[in-house]
Amino acid sequence: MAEEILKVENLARHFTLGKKQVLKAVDGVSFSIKRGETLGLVGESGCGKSTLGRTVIGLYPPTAGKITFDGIDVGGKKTSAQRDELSRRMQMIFQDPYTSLNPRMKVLDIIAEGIDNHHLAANRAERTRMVVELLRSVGLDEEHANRYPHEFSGGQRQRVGIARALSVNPDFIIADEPISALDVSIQAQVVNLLKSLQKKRNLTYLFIAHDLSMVKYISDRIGVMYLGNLVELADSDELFAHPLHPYTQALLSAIPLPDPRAERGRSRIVLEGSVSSPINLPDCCRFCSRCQSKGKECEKGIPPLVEVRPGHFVACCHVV
Amino acid sequence: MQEKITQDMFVPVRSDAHKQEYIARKHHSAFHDGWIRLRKNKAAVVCAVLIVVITVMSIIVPYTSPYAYYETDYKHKMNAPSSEHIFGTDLFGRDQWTRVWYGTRISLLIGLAAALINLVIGVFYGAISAIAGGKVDAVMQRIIEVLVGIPSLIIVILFMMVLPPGVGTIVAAMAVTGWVNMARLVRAQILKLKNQEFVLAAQLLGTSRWKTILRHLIPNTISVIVIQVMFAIPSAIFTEAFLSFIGVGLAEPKASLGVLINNGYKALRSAPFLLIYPAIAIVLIMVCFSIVGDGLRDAFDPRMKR
Repeated sequence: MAEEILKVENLARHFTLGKKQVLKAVDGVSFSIKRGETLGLVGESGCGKSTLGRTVIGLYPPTAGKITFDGIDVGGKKTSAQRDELSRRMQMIFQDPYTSLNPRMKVLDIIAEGIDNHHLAANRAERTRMVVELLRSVGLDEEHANRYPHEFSGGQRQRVGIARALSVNPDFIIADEPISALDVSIQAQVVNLLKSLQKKRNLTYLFIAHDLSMVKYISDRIGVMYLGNLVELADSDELFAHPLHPYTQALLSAIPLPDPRAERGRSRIVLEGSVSSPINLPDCCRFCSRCQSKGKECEKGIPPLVEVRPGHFVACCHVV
Repeated sequence: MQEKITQDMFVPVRSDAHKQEYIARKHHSAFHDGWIRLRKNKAAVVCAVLIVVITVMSIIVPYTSPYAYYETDYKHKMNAPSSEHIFGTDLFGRDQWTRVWYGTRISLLIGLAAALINLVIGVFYGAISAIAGGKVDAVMQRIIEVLVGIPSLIIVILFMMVLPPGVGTIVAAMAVTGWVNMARLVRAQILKLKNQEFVLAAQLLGTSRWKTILRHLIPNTISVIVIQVMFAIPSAIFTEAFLSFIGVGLAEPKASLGVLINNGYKALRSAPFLLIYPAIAIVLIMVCFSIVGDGLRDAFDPRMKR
């Protein structure tokens, strides 16, 4: 088994909104990612997926808990050499290709930003050569280097964003809903590109998305989030075959099936009500307001993530 | 006649991955795009040309004219326009043609100087306020609100009372409160940009704070700044004209358009030409700057259009 590259323990990220209001975007999440693996993270809008990604990479300081990346404490005090190493080895692909590229800069300079910051190129010619190589590796062309972002399509821009993330030769990439702003035909192209890059460069991904079938396609393991908590974590085949948490079951039942006969027989678990507000949450199971099989024990507190089968973790009082 | 469709009539279309990425559009920078849009706006182009003509004339005429703006000639007082004095002469027999262009020059100078000072103070203040954020931002915004709360006319008139009258005093007086709009606009723009994903990406790539400001934040604020400057110039010219008109502006024999209009207004019945020409000049300048400003906004910031 490969070593763990990233370890997240009891991570919490709270936002203070007013004097007494606290928004618990991420609350007590623990997981780890092995080198070369893809961990998919799913959950509905506002469940804290993006906040989790941004906290893990160090854009937000964590409220509590510990993030360790290859021995470096991301959330704590870092020396400037450690900061340098982190920004070289951990990168992010953003959600919206229309705001993730500076409209006043040429693609050449956008991609070369990391190369410049870390002095990876000896001279201008080498810098240009590196950028052209990166462009080619994401399926773009040399002639695109001198154009501005507004001249590209959404899929092309997203690939420029990927090239920028790859420019510093990272080994861990957080993809924050990289395909949700793209057309379906382009989604496959980008996901396949990410997969082939992973193979070529031995990358580790944290893939955040809300499209379950896409996540299943790219991930080795999948984590399901609900209101800032990780409710289920398992190998992707295992999760799809034996979903244990009622929320995961409801999510999976919502996937349409391509076979019309099977689709006719598909029964959907429709969740009642809506997500409770993440502000001033009660101290009980986060899902209990919508859970169909809730009982008294659900109000006792947040159920811990327990390993019920090898590699299959779930946080629900009923399953344990 | 019906034709039979056979298999061999179809040829598979091979798609070339390389061709799919081809961009047919000619290569333009964002600035060039705006320039193309601006050129299509005929009114803005005409006004821009007029501004250039007026500026050049205001520089050249006072030098080439046979009369100086302060040169009196009591034998030819209040003369109507003639071949000798194109715009006539004023109460002291001074050549109105020379004085109108000289006044235009002073007015433009004041407008430009005031707008530039607004630019420098406003951009720095707004940018620092937005980037620092938190308590610093709150305090800086309260200071702006206090400044907005004091009627600017009172500040300006106080300045004119205390300091010796002159171009410098007027500019200084207008600069005290004039920069707040620029500061607010720049702050709003930078606040909007600060949390955009490309700024986060720069942070992740290890770009330093200063480099982020210079490479990502300021370049994306420039169109807002330029447009605001284009609106600040006519407003400064107008404020100066107003001050001169109520009598706290420039002192004789110096002339600005406001001073000329004030003098002409006194002689409205006997010599209407003394009022008409400087009034036309100031209207032209104001309208031209406004239309060019509008055109620039539409061209470089198309989202704000209507």
